[in-house]
Amino acid sequence: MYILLVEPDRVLGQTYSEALKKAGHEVVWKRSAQSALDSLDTKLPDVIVLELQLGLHNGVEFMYEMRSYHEWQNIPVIVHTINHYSRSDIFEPALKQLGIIEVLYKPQTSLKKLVRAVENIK
Amino acid sequence: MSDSVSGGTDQLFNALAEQLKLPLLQIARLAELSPEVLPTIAAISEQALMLVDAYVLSKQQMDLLLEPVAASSVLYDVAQFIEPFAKQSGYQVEIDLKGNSKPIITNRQNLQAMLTLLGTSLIEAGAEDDTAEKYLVLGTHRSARGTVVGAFSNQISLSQQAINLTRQLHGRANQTAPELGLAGSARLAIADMLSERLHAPLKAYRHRSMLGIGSLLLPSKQLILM
Repeated sequence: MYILLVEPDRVLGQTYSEALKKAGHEVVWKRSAQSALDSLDTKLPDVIVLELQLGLHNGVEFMYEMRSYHEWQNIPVIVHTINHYSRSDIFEPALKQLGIIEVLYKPQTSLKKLVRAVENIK
Repeated sequence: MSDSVSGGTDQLFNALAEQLKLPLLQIARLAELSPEVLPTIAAISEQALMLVDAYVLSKQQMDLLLEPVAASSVLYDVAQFIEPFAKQSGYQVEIDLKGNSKPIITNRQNLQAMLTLLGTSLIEAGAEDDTAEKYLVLGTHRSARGTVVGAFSNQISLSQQAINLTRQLHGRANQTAPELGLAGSARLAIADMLSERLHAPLKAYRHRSMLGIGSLLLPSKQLILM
């Protein structure tokens, strides 16, 4: 699978990229919402793994921007975040409305679990 | 303890716990990935420990012992601590003592923790750019009222606004200085608390052609006479 990983943290970005590559996937890793959008223009991923807490723009803004383009409306997205608010009863349904397949809370998501979540999309 | 004070403390502890999640998460995932990354794990663990330690320092109730300190010796210690982390992020660490750097009146432990936090937050914030030569300068320069001691980078320009926002929002927002990211904002906030204890609030300063953050510290009259 071709995976777009949107992860602002350098160490986590490297770690998650390596884990997904070891599982046999092609990974492109971007640290900001803007560079992720630029990447979509180059090649469409099979899945996006997205941290909501990005630098200048947050992941929800990224989602709204992405979903506003017809050709990007059906790309599956897994939210993989350190922000515990994403697990709330209010926030999670809102994310689902944006076409998010699954919300994973990073502290409780091992590398194996992340790989499994990505591969479940096939 | 009044409700408002305990509420504020709770808020700070909550914010701290939030910030601690990131380095601990990094350690856990790296360790899961491979045993070949022990040096990285060690560097990250050090950063996490330093953050906790600096926070504890900043919250200590007792008065600080202020003493004459050679800024250069503190900067060398900070540079040595930061070096492994800087290398991983493609940074060179330099020490730059401009002018006749006289001893300053400060608390060595607090100053060292504060400069380490400032340095690591600048390194982390500029880690993404692999195109340019990256420098972190730990420097001092004279001003009319004393000696400015701080951390400066050729990658990230921090304004006074970043410091002001951090003061206003810390404990209420996770990322108070977008230029520094999540972890860098936490480090800046704790560095700011340490600088308050030193009675030398953080300010944005220019050093050579670089913008960074530092404190204005008073010279030690005692040692000048000697």
